[in-house]
Amino acid sequence: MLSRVANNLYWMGRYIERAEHFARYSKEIYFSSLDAPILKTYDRKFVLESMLYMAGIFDMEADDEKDVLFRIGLDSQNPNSIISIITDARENARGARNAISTDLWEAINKYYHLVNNYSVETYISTGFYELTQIILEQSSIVHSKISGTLLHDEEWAIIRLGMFIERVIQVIRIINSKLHDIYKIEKAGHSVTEMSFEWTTMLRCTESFDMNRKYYRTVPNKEQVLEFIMLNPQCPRSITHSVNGMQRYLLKLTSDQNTDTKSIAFKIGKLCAQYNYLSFDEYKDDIYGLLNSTQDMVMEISLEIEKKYLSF
Amino acid sequence: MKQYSSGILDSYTLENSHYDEIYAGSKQPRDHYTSMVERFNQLSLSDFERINNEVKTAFLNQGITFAVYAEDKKPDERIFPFDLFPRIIPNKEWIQLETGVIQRNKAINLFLHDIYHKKKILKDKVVPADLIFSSKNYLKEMVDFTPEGKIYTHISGTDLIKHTDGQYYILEDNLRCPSGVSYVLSNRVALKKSLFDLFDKLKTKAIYHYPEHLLEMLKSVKPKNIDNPTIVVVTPGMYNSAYFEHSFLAQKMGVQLVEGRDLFVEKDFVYMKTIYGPIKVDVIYRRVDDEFIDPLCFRKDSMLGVAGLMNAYRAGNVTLANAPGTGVADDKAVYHYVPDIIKYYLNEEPILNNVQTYHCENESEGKYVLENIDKLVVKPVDESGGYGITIGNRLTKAEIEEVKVRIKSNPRKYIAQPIMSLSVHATFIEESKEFEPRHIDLRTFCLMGKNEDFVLKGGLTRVALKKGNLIVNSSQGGGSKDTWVLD
Amino acid sequence: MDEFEIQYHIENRYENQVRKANFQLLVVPESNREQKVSELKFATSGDYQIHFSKNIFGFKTIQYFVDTPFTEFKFSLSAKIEKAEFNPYSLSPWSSFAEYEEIRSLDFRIDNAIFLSATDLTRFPIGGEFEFPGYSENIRVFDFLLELNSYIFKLLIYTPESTNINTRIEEVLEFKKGVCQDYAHLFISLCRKNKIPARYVSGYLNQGADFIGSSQLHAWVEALVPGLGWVGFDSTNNLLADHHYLKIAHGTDYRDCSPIIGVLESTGVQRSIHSVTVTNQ
Repeated sequence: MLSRVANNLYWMGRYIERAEHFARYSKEIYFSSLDAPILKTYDRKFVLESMLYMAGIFDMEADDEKDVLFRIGLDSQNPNSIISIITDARENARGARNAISTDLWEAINKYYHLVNNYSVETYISTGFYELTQIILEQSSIVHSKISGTLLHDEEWAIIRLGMFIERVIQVIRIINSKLHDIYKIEKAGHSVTEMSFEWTTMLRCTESFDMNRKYYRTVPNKEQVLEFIMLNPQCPRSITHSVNGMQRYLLKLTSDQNTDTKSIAFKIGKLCAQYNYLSFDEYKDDIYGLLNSTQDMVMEISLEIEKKYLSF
Repeated sequence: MKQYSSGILDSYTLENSHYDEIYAGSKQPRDHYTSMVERFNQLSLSDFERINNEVKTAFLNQGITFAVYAEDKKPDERIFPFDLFPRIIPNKEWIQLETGVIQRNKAINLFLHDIYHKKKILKDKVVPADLIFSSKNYLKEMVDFTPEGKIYTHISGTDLIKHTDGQYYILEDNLRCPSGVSYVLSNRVALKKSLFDLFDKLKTKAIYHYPEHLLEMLKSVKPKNIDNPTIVVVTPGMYNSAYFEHSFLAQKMGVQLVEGRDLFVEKDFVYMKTIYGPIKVDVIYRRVDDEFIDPLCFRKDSMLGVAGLMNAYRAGNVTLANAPGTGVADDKAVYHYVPDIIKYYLNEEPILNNVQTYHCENESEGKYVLENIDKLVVKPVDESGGYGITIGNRLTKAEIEEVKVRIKSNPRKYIAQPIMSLSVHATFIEESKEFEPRHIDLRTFCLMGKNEDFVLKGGLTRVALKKGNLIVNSSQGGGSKDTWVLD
Repeated sequence: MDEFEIQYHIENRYENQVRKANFQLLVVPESNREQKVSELKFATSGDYQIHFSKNIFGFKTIQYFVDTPFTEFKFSLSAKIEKAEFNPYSLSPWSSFAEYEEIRSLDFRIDNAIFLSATDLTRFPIGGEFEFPGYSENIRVFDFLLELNSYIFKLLIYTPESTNINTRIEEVLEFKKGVCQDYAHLFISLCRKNKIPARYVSGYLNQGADFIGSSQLHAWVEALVPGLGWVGFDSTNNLLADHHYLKIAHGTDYRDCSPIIGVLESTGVQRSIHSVTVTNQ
């Protein structure tokens, strides 16, 4: 595999994953806020601010709803908008066109055209739900083409590796962002039911609500939710599951032994060990600290992967 | 005689001034078109439009698009318009085309070898020496170097038209990086999916195996002492207008598609950079122009090339297809001499006709051109893509004067030809929702390897979609048709 | 028999780090009938693997492929050359008419086409008020070339750093200033204008003999005299190239003979220092 193609595939995987999480997060917090029990989250400006926070846009006020939706959704001038992320995914797929299957290429290309040709007018007036839904559906088609139409070799492994790295980063961002909202309203003192609504939203943002209900069979609360989306290895969006995924696909690329403490394999292995044997009680007082150190470690690993495999 | 009472071709109006591929004189289709016309007349307009739209969406989703670049604007991504009504060439006609194309390209190869070695044809005054040495495409880097198997033009595209007299004429040779073959293959796939029952009545020759022939040809010209050559396709990158084709061919051949920056040369061998280290490359199908392939040798500012590639090539460690320096033979001024070149090397009469060509640098021919610009097509000798062409009977008086000034300032740069009347073919026009006559030409694709010469059956029929327009290039608003050689 | 010792040194410093580079050096003296390289040593600033290749005219080039980052590149060559003394003044056995006929013949023009075609750097400008020596069937080619040599020598003032490697002949004629490659390009241009094949030569010049241009790599011209072959003319010094001239390579113009070409992955400017010493043992 050419290093440049590996680079394209890795980033294709990351952007596909990023678009999906971002679209889901925006959709969930926007629509859950419409009938939220707590007035604060009812406040549209609060929701829009949260969406901007997630999009990494800090230079605008959340005054004009249509403007905010446009900036985070279809503004091709904004490098972090959904359309920009999908364009990046598609351009990376195009750069690696002959390394991926025709099926996968066509799925990604169609995904791009559906979003790119979506009318801005419709989107900011009535189409927000429809567009995010298109993104989530197209995204799962792309997922199925990745698992079903590619040879499960190194090229496939590097796409999957990119996706899991991005998943850890996005899940951490989502938890951070939602925790940020929750702490703001928590100070005001709200009932358990009211708070459970907020925790439910966090689960929905990571598409883990149904799984969580099935697992705990109770109304979601802080401890269960954070334990579930951070630590539960059976939940495909959890950090534990994702770092295990990173390890699985990295090992398809390298024969490095875990014993070399400077190797990427060692660093990922250490991260996996930490998450697989962690209990919520150990870090419940410093959730931000754990999230930040994990994020730093994943970023470091990502840079090393780029240096070792993807530079040309 | 059967009457076609209510078909979608009913409103088609014949233009008697051109050769109509389907109809002879009256609205009676020629024999080889009868069943095709019958089938299209069974379609309702709404069915046809639905199928047409499906095909367009499929092309967009498959990424069969090219980018049109305009200054300070995001590139516009367009599909290459595809017309569903296929162009048919009877087998008898095709055999003549095929043998003619092979004959022509064989002679051109011998010509290239000669002008880069003994230069006999120049010394025998068959082709003027100055014409060759004044060409910027004559590369000193190729002098006295013999490419593997003496093959220069591994892949060539010969453009032909059919004139009012029903005869084919060669329009030009494309010996550098001719493109379009991916459209031929994609058009066929699209037509098979959308109008599959056409294939029941008429049997067309298969074309799907082109990539296999291409791969075999590339293998056959591998450097000596290599058993299993590593073959790559080199593209200028995904912003090149033919990127779809580059990736298409690489994928269908199952070889790597690489850019200049993926390659490097060490000790006169070429390597590609992979995640597990360098892998040696033996045969390069390059879709990058000569002047960009090696910054050590040609343009120093080239970001597309590979430093040291020409050294590796001249050391015999890598094969380039096509060879550098072939452009000297597809120069429009050399075109005029190709019939003589065929006679000189092969001792045969040319099978395919050239269009009469006037050289502006020749005093008497130049004079004729200046006096008859309104009856001539004037072309710059070193441009491709249809740029810089003027068609005499379309020019205003002021424009004619402008053209004259341009020719006088650099006569070597221009040639002129009679305005050839390209044949017309029924083509669906979306604005009028009707079939209308449009001008077409034909690009054939010829492969020359050590073991076989191969011409793709049919080729790319290009359509000038603008009414009355004669320029069929995609960059100038052209479309294409599937081309059937009847079995 | 003379023996020369040559030291060639180049030092390139880069504003920003260079990630990767290909260097091609054309600085090794050729071995030919009159000169023999008896000793050859190279050194570089890094532990780079040396590779020899041949350029399109068959001259030995040195290649370095560097894929570890660097900000300076140093190269030095030391060589010993044995050079036979010879008299460059020799008469062509041909008459001026026979020479003229040969030069006009199609075969001659075709066989020497590369050294007869103008290049960007040797294209003769249109216009100008100069009365350059003219060539005709009554003049021997050798005599014409001698006249041309001294004409250019008198016309131009040798002025270091007045021009660069891309300077066109128009500019040289306008300011009447230049360095050895400008003298050579003008000489070549006038030869080719008169259909006499001419090629650019790069090389070293004996520093003990007080010649102009010997402190750096030198450039002169070889022209093809019918009946004699290629003869070297140095209009910078108004001399014929003799045993003081140690040839590296020839080509159509400077661009075929650049001592160093680098293709770099980097940005920003670079500064180069070249130094040459040539001593007669």
